Amino acid sequence: MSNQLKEFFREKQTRASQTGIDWVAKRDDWIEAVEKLFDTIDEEYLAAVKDSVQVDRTHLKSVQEPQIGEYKIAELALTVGDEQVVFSPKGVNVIGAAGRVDVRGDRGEATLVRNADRSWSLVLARTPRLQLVPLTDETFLEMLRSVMR
Amino acid sequence: MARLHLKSVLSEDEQDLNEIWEWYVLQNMLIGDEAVNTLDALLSGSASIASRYFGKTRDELDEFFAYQRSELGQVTMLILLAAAEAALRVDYIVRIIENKKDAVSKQFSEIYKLQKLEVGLDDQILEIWKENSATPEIKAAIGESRGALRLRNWLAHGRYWKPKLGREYDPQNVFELCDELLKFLGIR
Repeated sequence: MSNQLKEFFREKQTRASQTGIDWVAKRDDWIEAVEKLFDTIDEEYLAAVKDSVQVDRTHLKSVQEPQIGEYKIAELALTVGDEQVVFSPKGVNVIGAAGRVDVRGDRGEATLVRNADRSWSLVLARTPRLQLVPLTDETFLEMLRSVMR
Repeated sequence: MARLHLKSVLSEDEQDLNEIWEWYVLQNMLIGDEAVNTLDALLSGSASIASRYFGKTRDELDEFFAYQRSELGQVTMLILLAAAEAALRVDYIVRIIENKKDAVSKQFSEIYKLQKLEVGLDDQILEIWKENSATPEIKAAIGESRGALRLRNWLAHGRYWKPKLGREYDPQNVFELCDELLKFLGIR
């Protein structure tokens, strides 16, 4: 019995070590990817409206993920008049994508996901079928319309 | 007088406790398999996974599957208790049909003359069984089942109030108390 138990645990450990994932590198890559996304939002999508929007990227949130542990990552807050929209990274280990950022406004929430090719998409629907659209200045505007008053 | 016409009201579709339990075990296992497949997809980065899981984190998946298991447990407890109720009510009708002469059947027959099939489970069927129970074990099993009727009512009426159940229930102990009751009463 104890030998079988040892073998059972050994198989589990072998399986876990075979994933070959460098979790530290994955975490750092994720933090950098989120910074680049925020650069794109700040410097490209919002370039033409700089005087009517305040962008705050100073807040760091703590995220706890299995295998990776706790780490700090930037949030982005847009303030327009009396409204605020927060872009909050949820995690890099998510199903079917290479990371997820939640977007919260007064009206509702939206979800951005990082694709395997490092591009970003906006999730339009999960059910009955998954619908993603590439994040562009146009879809960014549509997303803000859906989450803001 | 035999009341054979009563046979026509019986559907014979009532569920057996063991069948419900086997169904529950299979559904619970399927949820477990789905959870394992989903967690494997999370770790491997696989994109070939049902869209309902897309973008979920480990914590969100754990919460999702805990909810599925919890709901399965609630449904299972309800149908176990409903099956036990069905067995008790079928037994009531069969005793009337067969015009049995034991003490319980005689009391059932008196109720039938006045109320036909509109008989109360708690205050009549179980109460008569309790009055005619020979041992403290049977009385205790009846008492446990009457307590579980509060759970059954709460589940059956949509769980909209805060229940005062007096104890913790799960599918295992609800199966055991239903099984014990019906065996003690000679209905299983």
